[in-house]
Amino acid sequence: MSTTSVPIAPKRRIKGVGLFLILFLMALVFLIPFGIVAFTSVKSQGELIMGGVLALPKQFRWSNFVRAWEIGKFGIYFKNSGLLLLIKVPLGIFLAALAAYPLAKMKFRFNNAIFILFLLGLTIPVHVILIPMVIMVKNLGLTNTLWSLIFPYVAIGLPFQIFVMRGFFRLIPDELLEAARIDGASELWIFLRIMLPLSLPALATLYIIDAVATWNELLVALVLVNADAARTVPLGLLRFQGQFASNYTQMMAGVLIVIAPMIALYIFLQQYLIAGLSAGAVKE
Amino acid sequence: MKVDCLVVIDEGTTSTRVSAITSQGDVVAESRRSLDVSYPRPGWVEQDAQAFWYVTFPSLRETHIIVGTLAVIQSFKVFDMVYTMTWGGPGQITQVLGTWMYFNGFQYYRAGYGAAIAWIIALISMVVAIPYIRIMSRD
Repeated sequence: MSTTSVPIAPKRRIKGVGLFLILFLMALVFLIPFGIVAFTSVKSQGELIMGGVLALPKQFRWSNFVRAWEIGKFGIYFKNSGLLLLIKVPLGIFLAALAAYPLAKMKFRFNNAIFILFLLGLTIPVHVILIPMVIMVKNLGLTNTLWSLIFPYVAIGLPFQIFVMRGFFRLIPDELLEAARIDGASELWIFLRIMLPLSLPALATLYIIDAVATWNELLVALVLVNADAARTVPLGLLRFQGQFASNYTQMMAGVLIVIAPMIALYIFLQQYLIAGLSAGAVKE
Repeated sequence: MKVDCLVVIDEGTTSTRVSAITSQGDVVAESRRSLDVSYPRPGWVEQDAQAFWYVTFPSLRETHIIVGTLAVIQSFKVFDMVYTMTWGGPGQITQVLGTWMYFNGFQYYRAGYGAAIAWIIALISMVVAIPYIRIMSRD
């Protein structure tokens, strides 16, 4: 006879609480730096020194953001990085999809060999191609233009994007393509009107991944660009950091300005990240 | 509130169930956990206490290889963090291959030395990636 009204599985409950605590602590570890940036960006210099970094801000100084935007010349850098997001990212994903379609859906000689070649591209660090790239860009006369970034970025992004697109295309049932072929559709039509719309979740995922990577990319831009006309956001932030070495409130305002668009993009595109659109398109 | 009740444990074939029943016959709490069973031949039912180590864990092997490989390659490519935070300093103690390559190739104008470092990074990445490529290119 047991005398208790406690739920039955105390062990399981303890496990659940422990798991929650561990995950909560981990979340804190990731969120605290972000919190420090956000709090510091709205404080005055005096308040930061008096209260320390972790204190909640007493009054909000939004002027930090206005000053950071003006002094940091973020307008130019946002324009450049924004153009990359609008031109480079879709272009790269489209090219990757074009390459992935035959690799996933057509039988031809060396299909697998070509795919392995692309996979090898995943393992090659960008450092190896930096010096040749600088020479090439210089000889092409593209130095300090946005084109000097668009071409290398597209090339560097391709292996991973081809890999993901090929994997996704393989999940699309062959029956759909056969049906379209019987109706007389050309391969390009099939690619544009069947494969691409069905892989919207993959395309959106790749867009987010590549947009964040492009927005954050530092090394290639640092090596290829040294004029404001083509500087991207990370380079701008680096210059800004140099100017405000000890003015942390201003600097954190700049940092927040820079990361805000990526957070917004992520929240906006999250709804498209639902995989498996083609599931159920064909009766097995 | 204190209620007298009876705790029943049903050790079944496919699951273990536990319920608490009051003296009035009301079920106040229930819990259920399924067990993995195998049927090696008609009439036989087996449960393996070490199923996790011998089934679940080995089937994660390829996933572990892929994740591990990517993590190793990524950490050999580290650049931005070191460059923006410490510049490889104080002295050279936080220098990594990526930043050392950059400083030599583009700041000290020793392009050949920088290129050599870059190739070392590339070779390490490629060797680490061999099992990864083999798994990935399998159909």
